[in-house]
Amino acid sequence: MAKSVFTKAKISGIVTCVPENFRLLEDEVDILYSGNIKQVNRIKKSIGLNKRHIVKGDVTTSDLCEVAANKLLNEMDFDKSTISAIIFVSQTPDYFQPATAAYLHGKLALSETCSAFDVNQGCTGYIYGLWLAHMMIETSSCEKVLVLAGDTLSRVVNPLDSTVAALFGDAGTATLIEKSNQKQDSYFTLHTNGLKFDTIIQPEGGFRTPTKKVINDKRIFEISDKRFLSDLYMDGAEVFNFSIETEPKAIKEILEMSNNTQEDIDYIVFHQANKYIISNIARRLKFPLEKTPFETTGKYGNQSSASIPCTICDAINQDVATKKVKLVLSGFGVGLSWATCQLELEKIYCPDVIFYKNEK
Amino acid sequence: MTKLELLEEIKETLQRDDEISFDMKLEDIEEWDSLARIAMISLYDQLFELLITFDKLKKCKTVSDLVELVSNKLDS
Repeated sequence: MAKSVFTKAKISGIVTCVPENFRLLEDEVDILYSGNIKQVNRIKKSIGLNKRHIVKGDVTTSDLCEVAANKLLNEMDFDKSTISAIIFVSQTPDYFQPATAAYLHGKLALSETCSAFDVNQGCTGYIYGLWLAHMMIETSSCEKVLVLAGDTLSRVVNPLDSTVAALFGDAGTATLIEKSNQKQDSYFTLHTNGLKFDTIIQPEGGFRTPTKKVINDKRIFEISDKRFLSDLYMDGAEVFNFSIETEPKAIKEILEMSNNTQEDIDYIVFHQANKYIISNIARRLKFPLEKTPFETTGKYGNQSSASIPCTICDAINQDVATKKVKLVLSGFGVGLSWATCQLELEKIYCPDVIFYKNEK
Repeated sequence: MTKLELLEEIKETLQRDDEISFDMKLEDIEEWDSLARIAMISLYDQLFELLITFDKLKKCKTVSDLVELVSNKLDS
């Protein structure tokens, strides 16, 4: 069972970078909703979509992560040769080979004694990155670990596909995890349901030819000019059901593990799938919505692996930068996978979201 | 909750301005799309703590069928 308790590692800095370029839901009225303003307003009101920051041209996830990482390395006062691992978490790497972490290792001029690898995870990816980093520090193999989590899903959705096109935003983040001088308790649980691997899938582009023999959901093959097999497919209704059923259990499980109650937690930061899913999960938990940030999707879009760190930077960074805050973080989605952790952030480096300037 | 009260809740959930009636076909209701189906799941969860599946919803043909899903939870 993937359940872990760690005592030696802490997060000491988080930076989020999003593209300055954005689109509003209104911009899509004709392209996606055949001019139906009423439908757009319903989506805005109930799902909470509004604005999404997306890259222009050939900008990649690693470009956004590089800007975030440079800000973190420049502003936090430490010797970067003490970073012993760099983990790039994403569904949108630069290359099949080499690992994008290696490319970033070079761009950031890290030491030759630093390990570098990629983790293929989306909505749960941030928790995976933190879990690995905490484990690597716990075993004393590493002193400092840099987790770079981000995605540019705007580049894998078909702009004409109304089921996904208006949902996703792009972002890159950098998080520094290091050895703590005091005992620092953190708890992790991670889950997978691989039978539902085709609930969120980009069927074509890897080495397996997508056929009905392998892929269960036959709707995936109903392609048109609005979605090709190389575009992202998502069964939104299935994801909704999965999220509101699974997430309350995951939160209860982590609290049981840490021997805490909901009252002990200052904030639960969920993967920002959309406002509607988060408010439904919070209601099922009977957890106050004001302690459950939910506005990231409306401001930036669903940012996949970057949504949790972006929400920390955007919604609660004043708190985590000035005092001790007990958080539960929880991601759910592609895999299907879901992963949750409970940890404390105390006076960490956590500036406001920074913007990636488009090259003129 | 009575059937009539539920009808009003469904109308609000669909964010529909015009009235709806039990015998209306869902396919004739402009607002009955995937968003509305998700909203219905949320509504029943909220009102009755009952999580209905998307498949069950897809089998509903009329407003009455929607109400029927929770008939044992309603006041007569």
